[in-house]
Amino acid sequence: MDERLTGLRILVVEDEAIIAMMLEDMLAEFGCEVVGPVPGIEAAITLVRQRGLDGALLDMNIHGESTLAVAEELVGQAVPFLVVTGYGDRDNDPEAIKAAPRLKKPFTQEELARRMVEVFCRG
Amino acid sequence: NGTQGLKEIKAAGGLILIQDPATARVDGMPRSAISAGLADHIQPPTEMGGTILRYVHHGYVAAPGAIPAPVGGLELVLDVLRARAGQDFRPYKPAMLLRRINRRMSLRNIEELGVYIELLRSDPDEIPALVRDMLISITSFFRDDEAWSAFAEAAITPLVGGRETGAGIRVWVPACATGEEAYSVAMLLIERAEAEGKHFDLKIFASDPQDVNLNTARDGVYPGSGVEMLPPETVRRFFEKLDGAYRVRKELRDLVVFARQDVLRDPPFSRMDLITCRNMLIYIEPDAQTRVIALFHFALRQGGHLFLGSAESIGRADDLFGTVSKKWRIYCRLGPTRHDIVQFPVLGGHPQTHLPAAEPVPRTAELARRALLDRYAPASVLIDQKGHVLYFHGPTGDYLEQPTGEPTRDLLAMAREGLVTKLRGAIHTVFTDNEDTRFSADIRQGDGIRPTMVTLARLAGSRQALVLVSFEPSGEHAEPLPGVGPPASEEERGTVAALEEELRSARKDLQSTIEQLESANEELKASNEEATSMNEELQSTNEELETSKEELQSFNEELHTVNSQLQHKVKELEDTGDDLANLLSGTEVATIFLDTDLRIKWFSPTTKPLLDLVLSDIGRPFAHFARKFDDDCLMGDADLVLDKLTRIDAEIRTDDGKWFLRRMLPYRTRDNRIAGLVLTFTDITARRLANEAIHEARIYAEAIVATTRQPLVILDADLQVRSANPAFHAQFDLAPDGTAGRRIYELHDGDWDIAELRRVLEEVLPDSQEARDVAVELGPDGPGRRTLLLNARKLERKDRETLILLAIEDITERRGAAAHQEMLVGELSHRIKNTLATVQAIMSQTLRSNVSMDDFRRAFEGRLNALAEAHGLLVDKNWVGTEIGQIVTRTLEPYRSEDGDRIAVRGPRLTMRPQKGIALAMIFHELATNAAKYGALSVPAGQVGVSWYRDGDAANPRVHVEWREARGPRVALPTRRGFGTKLIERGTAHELGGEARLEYAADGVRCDLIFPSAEFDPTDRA
Repeated sequence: MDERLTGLRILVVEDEAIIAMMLEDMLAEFGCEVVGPVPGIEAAITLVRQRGLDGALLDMNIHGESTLAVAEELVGQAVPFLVVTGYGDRDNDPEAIKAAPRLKKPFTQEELARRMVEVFCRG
Repeated sequence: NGTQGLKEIKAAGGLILIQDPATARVDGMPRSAISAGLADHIQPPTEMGGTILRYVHHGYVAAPGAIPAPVGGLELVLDVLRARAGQDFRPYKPAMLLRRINRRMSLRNIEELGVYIELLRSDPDEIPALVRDMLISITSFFRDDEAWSAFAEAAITPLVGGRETGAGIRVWVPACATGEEAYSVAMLLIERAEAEGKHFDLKIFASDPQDVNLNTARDGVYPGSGVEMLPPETVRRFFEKLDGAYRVRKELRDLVVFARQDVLRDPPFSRMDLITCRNMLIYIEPDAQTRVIALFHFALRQGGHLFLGSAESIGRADDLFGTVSKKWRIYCRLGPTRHDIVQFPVLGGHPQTHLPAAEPVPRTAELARRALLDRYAPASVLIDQKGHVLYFHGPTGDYLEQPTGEPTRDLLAMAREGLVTKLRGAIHTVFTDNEDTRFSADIRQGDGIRPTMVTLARLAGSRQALVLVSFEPSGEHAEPLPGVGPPASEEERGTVAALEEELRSARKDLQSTIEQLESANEELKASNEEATSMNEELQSTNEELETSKEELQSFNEELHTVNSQLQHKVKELEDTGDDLANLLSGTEVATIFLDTDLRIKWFSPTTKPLLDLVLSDIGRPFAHFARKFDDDCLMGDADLVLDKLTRIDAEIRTDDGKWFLRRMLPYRTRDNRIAGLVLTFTDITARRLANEAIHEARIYAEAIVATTRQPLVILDADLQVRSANPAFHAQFDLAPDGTAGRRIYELHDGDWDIAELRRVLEEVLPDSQEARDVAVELGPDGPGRRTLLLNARKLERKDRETLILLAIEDITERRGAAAHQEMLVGELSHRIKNTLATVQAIMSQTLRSNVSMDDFRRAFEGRLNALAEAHGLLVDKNWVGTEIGQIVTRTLEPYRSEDGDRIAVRGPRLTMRPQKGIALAMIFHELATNAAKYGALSVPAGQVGVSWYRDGDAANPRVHVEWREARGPRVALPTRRGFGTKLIERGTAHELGGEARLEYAADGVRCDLIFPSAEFDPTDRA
């Protein structure tokens, strides 16, 4: 386990319960503090605004709604985040989503760790 | 050979009925028969029966010969004919004439000759009909050909052989009828001359009294039947074929001069080498025959040949003709011209000038007689009753002398001195006493006295009283007059005195006689003066006549000039005629000229496919002819053209499927008078067929254009819409009348003013034939914008502006479909990856809570199966939502007992979104597996009830699901919160947005799921 992840506060935005549970377990094993997981956009934005986040794992759609607003809030708060999605790159994605680094579903725990280090531990 | 047959019937006196061609379906035969001019009646068939009945009941047929010729009746008829028709039939055989008259009577249905004569006087048509019947005109080419062969050998061959090239040959064919005989002779002569390589100045005079016949003969058109019997090479050489008939070639026609002449009435031709007159003599009386034979003798050259019909002969005139062939009636002229026998005109009509006859050759006997007369006969004169000398014979100068003054024929005036007194007495004596007389006289001539014996003898045998006065010199003097000698005696003296007295009285008598004579003389002088003045008048008349004669001569000169002009004109006309004939045959335009009564004036042979016309149809009404084409407006148009003087064109179809352009124009003469109509027919079958093909192709093309779904527009050179198909109007929602004539750029308020379209139309097309697959965007940005694929092509047209065909394909939807498909593929990939992530999560979570591999496998398989079942439901429902009842039933299916009453499911139909359906299925799976492991489903008696209902209020609708277990083993509170519990709680909270309450009651687990009633909205497809 990469110790650089230990103690990071990570927001998880994911509507599918079983995947959220898996992420929770994985992040717990990395020594991260899981914020959430939240299945709603409003709830996610509220959490972002409360600050203190080191990063976020953002599902691109929550109950069929785009999480763009959350992404924009994260960009606004300068919180690094990974877009977790089954979609490939799509030309017509909004700017905030398109510019963000992605983690494609399905992923391994190691892959998650590596990407999180890349994105969240640049400082 | 119907026409020839008709002629024979006519000759035999039969009846000829011909069907009116207007009533015949095929009118060729009746028309041919009519054209031969032989019809007695032209009738529709319905009237023929009556005509035939009347004919057979008439005496002429019913009892031939029974009609008595009333005395003088025939003469009356002939008088009428002579007066009205100028035809004298007196020399013809009366039996034949009567037969002909009876025949006419039967045709007119008249029984009595008197009535018929009245008809002749009143009906102007009957006279020519009767004359035609009387002058039988039957003839044919080389009629009786054996006779012709003999004639060729006996007469023509020696004639041709005996003449040098360039010499003249003259032939006369009297009573030539319709000219066949004349042409036959001409053909024989030409063939013979060509065989010998000679050329002659050939003149064939053919004469006939009937103008009708002469016109036929001059035309030289004969029915095919009469000509086709001739050898083919003869036909080719001398005839040209018209339709159904033959025409004698012009070369031959020019050789034969046809003239109106009646052998019996008019003066003959002369100096002929040949005369052929066949079957004319048989119709006339023997007396007239003899005269005609004599006439032929006159007309022929010495040694010329005469060719008669097989039933004719020269009769007793064997001193005039030698027989060449008795069988074939060929004769040869003998001897000098005999003025004594030639009596022409035969009928003694008007006086004729005698042609100068050849000098008679005197015979020996005549010579002898003349010598004897000269030698022995005394000088004599022949006188008539008035004492005028008719003839002088011998030297009469010794006895007679012309007195001074005008010449006289008076014998007494011519008598020399000493003769007058006695001669006067003698003449008186011979005529009064009717007795020959003679006396002697002393003629004093100069000093001498010549004693002369004068004999006056009456001439016997002459109708007129003539006396021959002969003078002979005699030896003795005439007795001297008394008192001349010396007196002899007294007695004598007395006698002398008495005599002298007597003499004195005689002298007185004489004196008074002389005085009377002188007075008579005076009267005579007066008469003479009258005569002289009359003479002067006559002379002035004569001068006037001379002047008239000069005028006539100058007139004659003028006529000559006019004649030569006319000949020039005729030549021009012939040339024009040739030009016209060639023009017509060259253009193949069928042409018909009609007069103002719509009778046929002329037609060209090229009318054959349209109408069956023959030459004899000229003059017949055009409407009577059966037409071989369909043209109902023809006669109406004809009237219209004559009325309005316009041109009318129409297209007509013939019965055999050809098309003609029928053009009708007024026929204008040179002085711009309307003399009828010109009808022309031009074959336009090919054009018409081509037009029809074009029309068909057009219909075909138009149908394609109208049917195709692809919008098509035709633009003209100014890029204005020429036409557009229905697909164009439909697809772009334009009104058809709003597009035509507008520039394409103006359509849809300028939406079509597209830069790419301008480039294609204005830059690409002018240089190339077509532009392919050019995509342009139509309309403003937004959902209404359409993508069009253009194909443009130039339609080059010869000598006309180039058009542009623009084919438009709307590919907007196709493009949209491609994008949609791309989206679907992306979505599918996303779902699969999401699902795989879900499976991964199930696996890792299951792994965490199970120690043994076996447990893991069972738990993992169960959850995976539940997920798959839920997916299966969604796929069944096409991923558009699913019902709670179905989710429950399907998820609990593996836990149902055989009798199926362990699990009770109850609730209304409620649809859930796909994602929520899957979450619910996973929750029920966890509940069921737990029940199967530890709860009610772990024992056979245990039961589970699942029910749901709507809950909450209208503003906040909810669904309440209840899970109730019963009769299971006693429930113990779980030692730790396992995966199942967590999934139920989190799933309800995260995915259903609701709340789950789990209660481990002692008699069975209870679970309540309360979540917002997000009843399925079909439009939401998240």
